[in-house]
Amino acid sequence: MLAMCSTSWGMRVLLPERMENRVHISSKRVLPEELPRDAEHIVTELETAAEGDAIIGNDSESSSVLDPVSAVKKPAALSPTLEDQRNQSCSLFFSLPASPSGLHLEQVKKVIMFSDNKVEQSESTSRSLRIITTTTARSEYCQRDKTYDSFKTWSGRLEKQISNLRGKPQEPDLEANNGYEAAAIPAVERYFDALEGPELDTLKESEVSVLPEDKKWPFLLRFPISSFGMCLGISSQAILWKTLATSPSTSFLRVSPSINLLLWCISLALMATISFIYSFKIVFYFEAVRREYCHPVRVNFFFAPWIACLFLALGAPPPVAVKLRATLWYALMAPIFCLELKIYGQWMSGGQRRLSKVANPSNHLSIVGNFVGALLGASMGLKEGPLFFFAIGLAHYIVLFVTLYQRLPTSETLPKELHPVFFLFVAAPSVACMAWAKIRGEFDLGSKIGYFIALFLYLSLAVRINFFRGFRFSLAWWAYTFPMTGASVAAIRYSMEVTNVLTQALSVGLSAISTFTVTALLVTTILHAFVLHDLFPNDISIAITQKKKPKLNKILAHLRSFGSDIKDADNSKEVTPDEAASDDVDDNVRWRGAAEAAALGVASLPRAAATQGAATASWWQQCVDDAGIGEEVGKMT
Amino acid sequence: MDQIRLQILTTATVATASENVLLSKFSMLTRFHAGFFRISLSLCGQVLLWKTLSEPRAAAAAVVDEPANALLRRLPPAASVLVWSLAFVTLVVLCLLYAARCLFCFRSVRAEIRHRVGMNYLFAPWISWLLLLQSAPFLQPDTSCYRLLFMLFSLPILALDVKIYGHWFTGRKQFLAIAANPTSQITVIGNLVGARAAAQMGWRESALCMFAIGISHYLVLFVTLYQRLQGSDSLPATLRPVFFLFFAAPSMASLAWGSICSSFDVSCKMLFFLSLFLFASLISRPALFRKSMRRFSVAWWAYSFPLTVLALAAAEYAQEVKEESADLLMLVLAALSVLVTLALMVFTAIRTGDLLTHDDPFIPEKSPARAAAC
Repeated sequence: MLAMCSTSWGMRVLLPERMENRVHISSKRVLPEELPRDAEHIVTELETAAEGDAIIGNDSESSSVLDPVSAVKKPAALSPTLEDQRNQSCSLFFSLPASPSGLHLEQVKKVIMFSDNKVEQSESTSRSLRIITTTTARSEYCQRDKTYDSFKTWSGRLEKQISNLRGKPQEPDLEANNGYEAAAIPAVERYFDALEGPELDTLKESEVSVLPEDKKWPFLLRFPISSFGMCLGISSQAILWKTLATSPSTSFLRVSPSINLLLWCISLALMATISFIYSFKIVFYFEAVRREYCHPVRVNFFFAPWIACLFLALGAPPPVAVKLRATLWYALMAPIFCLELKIYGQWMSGGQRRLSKVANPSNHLSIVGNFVGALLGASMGLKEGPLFFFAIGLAHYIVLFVTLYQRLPTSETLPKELHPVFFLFVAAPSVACMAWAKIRGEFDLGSKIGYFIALFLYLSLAVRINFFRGFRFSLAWWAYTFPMTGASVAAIRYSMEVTNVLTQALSVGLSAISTFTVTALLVTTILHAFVLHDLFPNDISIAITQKKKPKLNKILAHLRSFGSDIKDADNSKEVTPDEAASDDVDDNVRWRGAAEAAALGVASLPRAAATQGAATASWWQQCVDDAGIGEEVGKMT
Repeated sequence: MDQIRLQILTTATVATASENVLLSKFSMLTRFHAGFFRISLSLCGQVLLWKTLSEPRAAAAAVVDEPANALLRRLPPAASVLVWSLAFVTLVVLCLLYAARCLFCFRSVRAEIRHRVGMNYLFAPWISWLLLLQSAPFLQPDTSCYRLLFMLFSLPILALDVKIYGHWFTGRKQFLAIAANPTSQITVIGNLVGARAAAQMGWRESALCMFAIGISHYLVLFVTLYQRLQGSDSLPATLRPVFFLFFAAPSMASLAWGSICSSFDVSCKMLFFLSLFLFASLISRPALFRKSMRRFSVAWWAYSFPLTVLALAAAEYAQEVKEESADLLMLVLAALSVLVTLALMVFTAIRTGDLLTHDDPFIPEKSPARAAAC
């Protein structure tokens, strides 16, 4: 994987005597931009043809050079030839971190020395552009993949510690003295600029991810917080079947309580598994978790684990339910309370994360937690605590409801097409009505108002079912099933209050719909997991770049595509410098020209160079001028 | 000739000297603005708190309550009269100063009325008078004098309501999306204080009317403030203490509804819990107030009144829910509000100069010549 460094053009130090002294920068700052094949260096050399085709390195090396993956260079082998040609050759060394985004190109401390007196001899000399990729001398150590280091806890040092403890040989830590520098979390505007889609999970065309998009990332990195949505979906089903079994108005269905027991055990196991996996992610990939926390949509899913636990407590089979104590309620509500303080406080006064900008349907997840907690607390017999959370939830729900209904022009995340996330609208009123009924002890006017609002919203979405199309399946869809289930439970509760054929039919119908949806979702999930193997795709939305550099990104995207061809390209592609020079006078393309030449050249170029030496020289001079080191080159003479 | 010149010079210097005195007086008046009524708001709120706490409360079985009750009952009635008098005198002085400002510097007053922050503080004197009326030790709510004074103080509130709320939804320039800022909640508090006073007098319908006006505009304002729409400018950093008004409004609403319903029912509790949450939310963000705490200014007085109202609501809550934790909460909040008020009084006494030399940021700067012309 190749990249060009712009600033290394301008730096100049004496050619180091030995290759080993070359400082490679790849991991100096632990960056998200590193590629798996770290520390590949592109050494571009301009040689005079005085020695004919003096090749740096031997043939076997130059052929293996083009296969970066397996290339293990012995840098020492290069140095004698370099020494020999020192006086004759003009060498430009670009030693670069193999970085796709090139964001930290300024970090490169590689040396260039350009003997300018050779430039004037361009008419008679031919230059050949050779590319040799080298890897640093690390063959004797097992290479730790540093690509994902910036997403790991303490930038990978935790992993090093652990492997230290396990007794693996450690590579010399060249960055040991550089201290820990966390890659800063992108600001909220970056998330809106770089991502699109109703869940802000698709990278825009002009953006580039800081991690390689074509490789499969480590599993933990691909495991999003929205996986807890599955727990939400299944545990709410457990509540539904418990209500169906115990409610007098649906007793004609003769539902067995064992369904509830089965679903509850499954959801308990699922919750344990997902929490277990995610806790590993927190331990090993804390930076990735932080980025998820700063994502405007994903932050709401941080409520999901606690809401799922509350659902588990609500849906527990009666023998278990009586044993639940109030301390459990306090323990579950404390994290919700802290998260709320943070998030609602941000809405009120926190800099750029103003509600008019970040409001999106997923914010309902942060509101519903209040109502679910109130419902559970009231079921347990508590009085003031549930009322407290109900009050907070109601006040903020009103704010969010108005904001989302307004669809303010400044809000960027509301999708134009319908997406399952819209079903979250139904969640809050349906759970609120049940919570209010439990607090008051009867299904009074307030609860009925909430129930009818929930029904209306459900109906508005259901009649537009045609428009729910064309979306890529994601695990977060599980989270959107619990509102349907919540509406069904509210319908059952209402039918207990007002018992007639209509209400009973409605409750049965809604329950059937929600069960069917969950089953369909389960089948789809199994399909994606075991047949298509893409249940956990690369989590692009947390890997956006810090700053937007569209042109360079585009170039590097080009380069990467070239780089993938490099194994086949060899001599088959020739981009003459002439072509490069005749391209548009545009930074973009000029760089591309240089990059392409660098990326492809080798054996084909001498021929081109011999016939078009002058063109080469002029093109080279043009590149040099563009890079702005003309005067510095002049100073060197 | 020389003598005449000397005479002219001396008269000129005398004139400039007297002009300077006048100028300094006027400049003081220009720097005085309605925001200074925060002081009277705080003091009158404190008086009401003391009066409420020292009233004999319903028998509570809590252990915490007994010492508290004993402590409060030991406070001599003279102390409460003293505090009331202090508040009264402060309010009178401030009103006189503001009247002088209206007389001599009407231009500044006009600019203040048009400013989106300044206009809300026009409610502050009337709120203070109403609070003082409610806590008057010698005046009972059922006397005609009380009723007369109530009408005298609440009619300006209603007039200001019509003006300011009218601007919100019909105005071309000062409509809500642009003008909304945390100090707008003072308008809501004004209505709610009037509603409470009316309810305590027994005028239930007027109380309900003022409550309805207040709560409906509070709903709109709450949503707007939370949205923080793009066009609305943020407050200057020195005015950050007014964020405390976020939890003053729901506390006042719970008190008003409690007076109307004659009991602290579920809605009151919910409003009280909301204000508790907002209080916790603001307390947990000290960075928000850091900039404003660098230098003493009259904006610091904005801390005291909301805390007092919260303590009052907590007292009502504790009386309704006879639990230890509620009593403890009430005591903590009351102590906090008293401490903050005392601290502010000490600061004011030490740094009186800072109060006036520091131009309040929301009044546009005026040159001394224009100020003299006023």
